[in-house]
Amino acid sequence: MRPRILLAAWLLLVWVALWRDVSPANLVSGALLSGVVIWVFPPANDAPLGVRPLALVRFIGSTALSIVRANLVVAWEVVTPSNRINEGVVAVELQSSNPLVITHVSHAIILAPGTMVIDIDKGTDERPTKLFVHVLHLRTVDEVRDEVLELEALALAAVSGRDDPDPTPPTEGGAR
Amino acid sequence: MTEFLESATLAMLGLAGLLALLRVGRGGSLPDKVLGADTLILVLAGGVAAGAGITRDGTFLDALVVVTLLGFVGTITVARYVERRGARA
Amino acid sequence: MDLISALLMAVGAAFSLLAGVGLHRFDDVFARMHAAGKASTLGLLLILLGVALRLSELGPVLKVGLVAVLAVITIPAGVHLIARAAWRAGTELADATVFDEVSQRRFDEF
Repeated sequence: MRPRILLAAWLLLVWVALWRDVSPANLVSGALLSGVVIWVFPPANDAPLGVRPLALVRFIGSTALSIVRANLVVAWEVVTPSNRINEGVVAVELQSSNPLVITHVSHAIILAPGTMVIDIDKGTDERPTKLFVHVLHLRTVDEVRDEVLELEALALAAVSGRDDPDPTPPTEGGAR
Repeated sequence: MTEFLESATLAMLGLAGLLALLRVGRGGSLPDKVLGADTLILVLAGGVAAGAGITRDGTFLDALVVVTLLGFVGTITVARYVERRGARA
Repeated sequence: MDLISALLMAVGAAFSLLAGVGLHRFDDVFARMHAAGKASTLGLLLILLGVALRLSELGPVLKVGLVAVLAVITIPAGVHLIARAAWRAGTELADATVFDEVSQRRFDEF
């Protein structure tokens, strides 16, 4: 699907939701308005996004499950008086350097139990992208890496992303 | 039962907001305060949402969108400021 | 139906409260961030789910859904930005924090 069609659908949805009114007249005016907006501000890159809907649903489902699990872990940690926390920071090299994929992976990591992305070092062609992950219950470094790579595999199946057409050189320490 | 649960919802949200406010006051480091403020506005969003549910009044939802998005924009702004300036409280 | 929705809202509020308690229960910003970021996301989502069950028309339900989508996108992003700011500004971590080699080097850079 091309971005401009998805964008139009999203704009229409937002319009209808904000009005809290799904009458035909509102739908028509929303569709007209989103058409005008996209005509005036066309997306800079209209190549297909590289998203597989079924795998994306799977990705979202597993992320939703991990939010619940994460909360149970945090709840347990907050409520019980004993302190089993063993904090650590682990750098993990990703396979992909596509911004869309990195975004999805980081999001999934933040919502997963006991892990949090605290810094991203965006790679170049020679250097892989590194995520710096803060872990609440660190057992082994390899365990964290495996977990992150598993999430990346899920995200890669859902969004392959498109080639980054933006030729700006990556600054040290990622986008500012 | 329903009414009790509704009151409990508001009470817990109030307490959560108080705790978040306490973190803003006590600080620790500057990011601690920012995190406290972020939590506070999310609790506030929860409260506005609960208000919409309890009164069944759709106008709360208009405010809810504003609160959620303002919270995000505010957090980003302050976080970037902290990043440049350093974390001393 | 009303009872279920009230129950969902109460559980959501309980998770928000958990986020508030978590802010005081842990030793450093990063651990607090785990509590606050995750618990307030789920808390808000549960409250919104409870609210959606009570509304009868499609329009308001769509609006609640829109807020839920925005919340799931923006809350983790916001928390990550606070974490990054804390990390780059050199906020002290808890003493027991373990680094691996690469992150130690990165930490020394800032």
